Amino acid sequence: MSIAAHREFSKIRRKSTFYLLALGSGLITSLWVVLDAIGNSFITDPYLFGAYEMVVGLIVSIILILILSIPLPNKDKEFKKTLGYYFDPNFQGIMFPKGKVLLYTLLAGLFATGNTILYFVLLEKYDASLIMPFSQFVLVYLLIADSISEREKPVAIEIQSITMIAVGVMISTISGGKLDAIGILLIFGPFALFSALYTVFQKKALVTKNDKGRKIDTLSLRIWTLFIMTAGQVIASLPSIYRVGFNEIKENWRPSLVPVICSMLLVYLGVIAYTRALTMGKMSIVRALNSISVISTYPLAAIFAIWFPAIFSSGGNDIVGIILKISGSILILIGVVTLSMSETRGLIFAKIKIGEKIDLEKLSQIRGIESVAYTSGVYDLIISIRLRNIGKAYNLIRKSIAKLPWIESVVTLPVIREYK
Amino acid sequence: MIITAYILMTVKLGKTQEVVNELRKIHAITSCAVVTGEWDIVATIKVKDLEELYNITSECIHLIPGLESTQTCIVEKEIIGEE
Repeated sequence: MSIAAHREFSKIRRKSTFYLLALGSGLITSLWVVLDAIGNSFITDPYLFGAYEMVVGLIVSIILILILSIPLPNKDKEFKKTLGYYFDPNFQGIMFPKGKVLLYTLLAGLFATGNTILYFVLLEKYDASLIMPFSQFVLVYLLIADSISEREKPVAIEIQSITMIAVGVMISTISGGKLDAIGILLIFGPFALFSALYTVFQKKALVTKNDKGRKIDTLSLRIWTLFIMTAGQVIASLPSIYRVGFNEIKENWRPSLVPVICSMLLVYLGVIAYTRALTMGKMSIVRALNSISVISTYPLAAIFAIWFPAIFSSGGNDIVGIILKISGSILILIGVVTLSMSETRGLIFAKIKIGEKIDLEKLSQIRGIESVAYTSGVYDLIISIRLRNIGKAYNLIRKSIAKLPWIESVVTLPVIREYK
Repeated sequence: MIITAYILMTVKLGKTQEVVNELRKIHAITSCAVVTGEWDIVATIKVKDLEELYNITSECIHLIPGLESTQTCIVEKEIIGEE
């Protein structure tokens, strides 16, 4: 039996949940960026700090998931309600990935590790303020990935808004510095590609059902990918350990522990929000909305600069820099607002011809169709559709649904507000 | 076995939000969409058996002020498009 059947009815609109999760993950990311910078100021070797951070992160995440597995009193005997329910309603205790889900989890973890290690490699030669803006190229890969999955093809307005967000991020984060051909190739190539593939396999792991028809929850998925990432980071830090030893960690782990614990807890929550959003919408959109972190990092860094002026120096009052940051942020905001205002859902009620053989599988495979229900009552079929604009619904009906020989008539009802 | 049904509703003019707010209090209702066209609200309900469906429709939904008419369509088969 599906878990959804036991879930309580959400008090928030479905669309709002999606945007809250995607934008929330971005806001958490900016808090994490700030805390990470504080922790990093104590342990300067990126590989050592990365490995130390991941080990601490794994420990605190395991403790957190154990706390979240505490069962709560629940009337429904068939549904195990835990504390984690409030983070992901599908969570019923730690779940072990098996079969295809295990493969996808493994690949997600490996690509995430590859991405982080490559970031450290790039950091040795190039400035971080050059790597991050160009890594927005990941959105292009995600748009392609969304296009490959037939059901999620991006439409013009999505490409427009995503480009706006990507350019906004580039403009507001870029500063002077030199980048050579190898750097460009590495950032646009493997670095962005690994980041995209991390998202693709996270989504694949989350939407694939096991043989019992259950999907893995976001809390469990994160724990397993974290295991792989921690192992990868520790291996990557071995040359540094060999070179400089454990001294830096031994001397500095105490002052950096609290910011690292806080930042890794935030990462855990941020990833859960991000991956939950992934299960609800297109990858490119979730990633683009997550870029809001670029805007929210500025005020946070300014606040933290009061206590840690050495870490968060604003780099002077360069007027051109400020104008670029503001214009980039405006582009990002417009992109986000445009995206959120242009999604339509609809219901199609259809009657079918008597004496014709029907094929519901074929109907459910048409792009834009979310679900098909064969019902008793006034209509034979209730088809749920999700599209960017109502004009697309016309095409969907005229070109796809009405062409099926067994459909007699259809009534389309655009959804103007939805709670799920 | 869980039974899913769509409940199609028409409501009195200006009463949509009140009806939606009442519907959201009912535990068995898993989604609720305000639509334009022949109907005003389409709600999805998941219940354990027909007895529960009867109880909820007759004792909860039909008593909501502002609701004009309802039509319950029980789902016999549902296919969800794979993402």
